[in-house]
Amino acid sequence: MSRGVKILIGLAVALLAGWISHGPLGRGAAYVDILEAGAKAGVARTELPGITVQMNREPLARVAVLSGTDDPFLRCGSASFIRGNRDCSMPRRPSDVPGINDRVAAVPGMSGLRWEPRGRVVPLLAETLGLTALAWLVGLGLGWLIFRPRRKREGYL
Amino acid sequence: MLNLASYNLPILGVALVIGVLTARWAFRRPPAPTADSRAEDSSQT
Repeated sequence: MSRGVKILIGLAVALLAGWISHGPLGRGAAYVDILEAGAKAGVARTELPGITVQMNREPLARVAVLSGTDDPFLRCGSASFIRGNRDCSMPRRPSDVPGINDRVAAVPGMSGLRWEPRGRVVPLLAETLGLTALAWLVGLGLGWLIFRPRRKREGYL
Repeated sequence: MLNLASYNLPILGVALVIGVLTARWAFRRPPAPTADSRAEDSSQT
């Protein structure tokens, strides 16, 4: 069997292990549940009625989907409302009142949020498999350093 | 991403070990024939 085929088989086994962890073992859904709980706690701290937050689940992603208001002050905080750009992209100042977006984005691990449940998101499975492939590559590099074929030294001259 | 990586640390460790084993399988030189095995080969032929 050629070296390239062996390496591809190794990568496939690593990706299979990543998928088993994400899907059948349920770690992907559990991670999204943790993020959702954090986002709900963040929204609850604003004490605003009627704001709901759910995680994107089809596909599973680290993106929160919010609903309940279209008020830019509530969504973005004082940065956009007072300075009038209304797109939440104003640089924050320490004196700004945080909006709902800021509370949700501050959850560790959250990659994004949106108020309309449409558009593309990066699936959590893709991110997990990417990290798995990276770890496999590091292992392959380490293994190459250890097991690479070396020429036999035949003398010192 | 760091948070995701730390949550997935167990499977990343498994992937790293699989990578090392893959390198061992793919790159390790087969053991050199010993004098006994060479003698066996020559006696068979």
